Amino acid sequence: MDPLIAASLPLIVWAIFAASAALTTLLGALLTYHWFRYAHNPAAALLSVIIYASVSFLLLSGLLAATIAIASI
Amino acid sequence: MNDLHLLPDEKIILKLRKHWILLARDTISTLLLAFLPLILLAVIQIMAPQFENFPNYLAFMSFASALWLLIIWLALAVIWTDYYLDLWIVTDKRIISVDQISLFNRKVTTLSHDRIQEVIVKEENFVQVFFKYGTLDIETASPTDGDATMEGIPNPERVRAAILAETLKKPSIQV
Repeated sequence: MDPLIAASLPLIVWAIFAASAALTTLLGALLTYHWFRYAHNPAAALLSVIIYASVSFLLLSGLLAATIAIASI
Repeated sequence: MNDLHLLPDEKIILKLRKHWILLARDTISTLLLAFLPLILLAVIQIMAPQFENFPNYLAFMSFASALWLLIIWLALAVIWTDYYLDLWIVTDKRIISVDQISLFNRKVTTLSHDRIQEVIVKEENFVQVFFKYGTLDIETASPTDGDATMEGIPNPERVRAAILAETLKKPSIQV
């Protein structure tokens, strides 16, 4: 691997992880706003928030683990 | 909680969402995309096995797969939100159509029963006939209200009957 790419790789993967986490959080905030503003059933809106947050947390944890694995190469 | 304000004496006759098969179609087609990294891995293994000798090949593939799954999950959340917030309400006074086109793009249309001239049901293919859903075209007499189209309505004949029953209760328009 090119030494320059190898040196900047940890920074690139951390930047991708940070952007993904920010996007997930921002979309979550927008969706939560929509669910609570427009849904007719508060329980369904709350359940949607819980499911979205849980699955997003799991997927972001997986991405974080992969990011750490690459950054520690 | 929501932006639909019913009149004090207004009664909801029907509350409808699109048929579940439309949500299933969009969800399954998006979920199939989640398998793309596995297909890519298999293709690389067959077409270019030398890539597996690339240092930390598995770490990179894990990172790319995790990122891809996250993107798929976000897409699913938006698909479900679009489905859940699309709503049609038939009351004893009017029809309220809520069309969630995208995030922050929402169209709420109301049609008064006394303006409705014709309700047309369309079931246009085998899937629609088999799963009993279709399109409802509502033509109005008003030049400002315009016509309304409800796509993906479950049991459209039953909905048409309910709309016509309410429409017939209203006095006809005097010309």
